[in-house]
Amino acid sequence: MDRSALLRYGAAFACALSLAAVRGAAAQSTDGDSEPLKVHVFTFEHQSADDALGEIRPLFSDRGSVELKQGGGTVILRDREGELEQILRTLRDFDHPRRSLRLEFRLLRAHRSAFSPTQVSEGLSPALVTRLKQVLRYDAYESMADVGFLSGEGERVAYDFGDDLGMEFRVGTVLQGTRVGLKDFRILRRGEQGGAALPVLHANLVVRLGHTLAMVLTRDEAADSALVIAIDCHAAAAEPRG
Amino acid sequence: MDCTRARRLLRERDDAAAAERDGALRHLDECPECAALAPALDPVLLFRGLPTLETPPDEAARMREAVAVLRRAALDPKPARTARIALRAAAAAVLVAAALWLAPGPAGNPRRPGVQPAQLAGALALGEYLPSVETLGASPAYVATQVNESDLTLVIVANVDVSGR
Repeated sequence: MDRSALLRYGAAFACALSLAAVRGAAAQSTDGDSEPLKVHVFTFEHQSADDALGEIRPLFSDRGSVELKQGGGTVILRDREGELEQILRTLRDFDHPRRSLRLEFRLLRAHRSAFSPTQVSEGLSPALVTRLKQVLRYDAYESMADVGFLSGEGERVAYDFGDDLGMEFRVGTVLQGTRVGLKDFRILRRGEQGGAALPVLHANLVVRLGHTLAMVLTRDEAADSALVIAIDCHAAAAEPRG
Repeated sequence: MDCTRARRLLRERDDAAAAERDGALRHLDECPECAALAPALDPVLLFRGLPTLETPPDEAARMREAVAVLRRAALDPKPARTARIALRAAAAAVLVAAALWLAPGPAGNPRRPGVQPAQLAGALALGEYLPSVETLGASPAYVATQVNESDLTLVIVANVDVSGR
């Protein structure tokens, strides 16, 4: 066999190898779409399936789906194996035994005093007031209520701050050991002479454990007064009440 | 321009009010309170004090693609080997571009005295940015501002009638 024939065979062999490689790569790239979906049924033992849906939704692929069974304690998950593994890891972490939490609420009236020097009523955390004054335009802070209590994941809480203001919420599930939702959080003002309570605020809150969430409720950012609700939440060793 | 108007313009970034936004930006030079709140109203205002940067279109496109790769990779729990390599290359490209961009001197940009982006960005690190209040139902209240710091999250909820107390 002469040299030119060897070169021709070599070139043909190289072309064949390249084609095989391209076909292999193409087949591999379509495998992702044709990969069969797996189904997994997960039953919750401790936590609410409703709360879990928001956590796992972003983890599904385009082909994935989740179905909540009637009764609410079971979900049927469909997706590729890789996605399902990640979703199940998240659900197992989520469905932990219910934890106790210590919740603390401080209610403050903040306002701007045009002439008098800075006023801070007794009993307020100096660190909190210093931080608030760095960001807000108010220089007078008056404590209206200060309360701390034990609660637990899944519990409903209702508390009256005084004669005309109260709050209600449901404690959500601790996520990744770092944060917890206060669901359907409502601040309510009672109507005069026992009339129906009027909602001042209705929101879902996320509180990081060991980290203060200060909500400043105001008409607008230029208003001369505001209601400040400072919320702290810590993991507690004791069992929840009830 | 008063504080309320300026803050609304900065927060909403309404294209129709672009001309007025210039007025709101001028207001920041005169009002220290609004200047302190500005990065929370619009995080882009963190870089307000930096000189204007002329980025060639192809360079900007490469950086956008690099960021898109990083975003896609963050959504994929088990990236393929090629994706991991692309991710590392993109991350390296972004880091090199950022280092060149931030470096003072002829290769980088002249830095104005007193402007320290890393310090300003500390309170608003992206990993820490998690909306803490989501208003619900027919309530007219809305979250006007959220400021995240190491041990305190401060959320201003506006359009709330607190006059009853």
